[in-house]
Amino acid sequence: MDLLVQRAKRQDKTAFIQLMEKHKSSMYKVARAILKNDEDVADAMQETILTCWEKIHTLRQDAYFKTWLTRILINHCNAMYRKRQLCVAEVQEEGGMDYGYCDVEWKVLLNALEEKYRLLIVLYYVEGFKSREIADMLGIKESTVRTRIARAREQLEMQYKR
Amino acid sequence: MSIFEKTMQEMREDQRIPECVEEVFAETLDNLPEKKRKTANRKWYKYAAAALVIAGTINCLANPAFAAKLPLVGNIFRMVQEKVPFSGNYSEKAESLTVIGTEDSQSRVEQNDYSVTVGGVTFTASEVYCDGVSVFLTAEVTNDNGGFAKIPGESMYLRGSWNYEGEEYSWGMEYLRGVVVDDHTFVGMVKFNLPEYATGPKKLTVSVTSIGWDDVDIRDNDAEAHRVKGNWNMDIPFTADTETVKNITVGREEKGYTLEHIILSKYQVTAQVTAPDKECYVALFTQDGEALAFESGSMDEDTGVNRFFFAVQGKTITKLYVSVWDDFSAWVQACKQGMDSIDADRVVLIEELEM
Repeated sequence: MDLLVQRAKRQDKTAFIQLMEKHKSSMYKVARAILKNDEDVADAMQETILTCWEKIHTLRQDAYFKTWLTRILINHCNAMYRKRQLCVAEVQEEGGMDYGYCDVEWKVLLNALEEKYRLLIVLYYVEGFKSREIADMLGIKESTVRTRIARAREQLEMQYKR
Repeated sequence: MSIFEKTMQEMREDQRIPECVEEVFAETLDNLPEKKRKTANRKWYKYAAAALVIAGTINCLANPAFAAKLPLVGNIFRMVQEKVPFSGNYSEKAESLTVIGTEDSQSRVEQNDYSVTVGGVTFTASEVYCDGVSVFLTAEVTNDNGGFAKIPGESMYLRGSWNYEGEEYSWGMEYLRGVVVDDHTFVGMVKFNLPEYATGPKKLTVSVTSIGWDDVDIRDNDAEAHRVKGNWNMDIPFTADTETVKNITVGREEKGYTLEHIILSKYQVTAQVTAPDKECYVALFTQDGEALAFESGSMDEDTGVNRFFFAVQGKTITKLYVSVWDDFSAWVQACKQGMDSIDADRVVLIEELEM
């Protein structure tokens, strides 16, 4: 992976494309934890790819590529989310999320969580980031991350019991 | 393994991506730019959203009767110039991009080099005006399949990019603001904020990759109800009209925020503030303490240069109070309620400028 990052930093398109393909699924899950429809997710991922392509030479430590990529993605998703929130502020949403395909139990469960917990669950349990890394990524205290992860898990466990 | 752990494992193993996401992902990787893309429109979403909150929606009514009296292409500024956020009389100074036919020619031009049709959707550039800071372009969009009569508001949505002086700029999603003429025709104005102050003749290359619009019958409020993809590409020549523009260098610095320039044209005021790695917002007030309508903003993440665009909307401006903020909600409140509402403890700097 680090070799790919090094090549991508030298503007090797093939290497960069391989890197993005490797992280595609992760990017989708993280973005979907923030955004409510797949079109917005696609746009946020597109912006993230372009930002990373432009800025990859600024990445200092190759080993932190995934953290760096995820932080950029979250920023784009948050910007998009804020826009959508404000644009539709007076419109009541109908129904749940637009899932895009059928076998989506994990998405249904995530949707049951409060927004502030959803992203943490994906970053911690699915993408394997450490609480310290998540804290840096989101600009919150590590203790807050740990507390929220515990509460999120409690909330999810409650969902199973219903 | 608990049910929770099992679900998390399923989620980790689930590699499926919806087709629409996959498509954009592949398309983006296939079209990675050779040169570095400029960041003129970064943070677009944040500021555009704020503009909606602060300004509310503009009232804009379709007026087919008016439209019917004139050929559309070549006369679009007249139809939309008082209905767009950056309102004003553009039609007197705008450059027509068409050879206009007579009034008998059924609202059609006889010749037009600025028209592209893809999938039954035709994008025709009509007139262009530049105040040195921005290019204001009018366009007609027609759709063979119709459906425009169901557009609930005053906008269509353009996505794509534009090229200026050899640099490519990402567009994100941009509004074509205007009026529905009939079920097949929409006319409007789109604005391009140039990276630097322009003078003399220039050229803009516009690449529209999708045209979208809302539909009263489809309550999909998270995205456009209809979106046609294609490549509507054209070169737009223009000459910057800077005769009456005031370009003021300020250079005031407070707490890491530097108010660099204020540029006043007949249609807009642009404030430029450098604030690397900081939240930055600007509100402008006239000599009467009235807030100018904030319309959009952008930030270059490399340089920390923020630009904020405010609509003049016919106001006579003799003095400007420029306020810089680091707090989003305080800034929104100032924009909405005017200068009297300013809490001095929450503003980063205020500068008074004679215009």
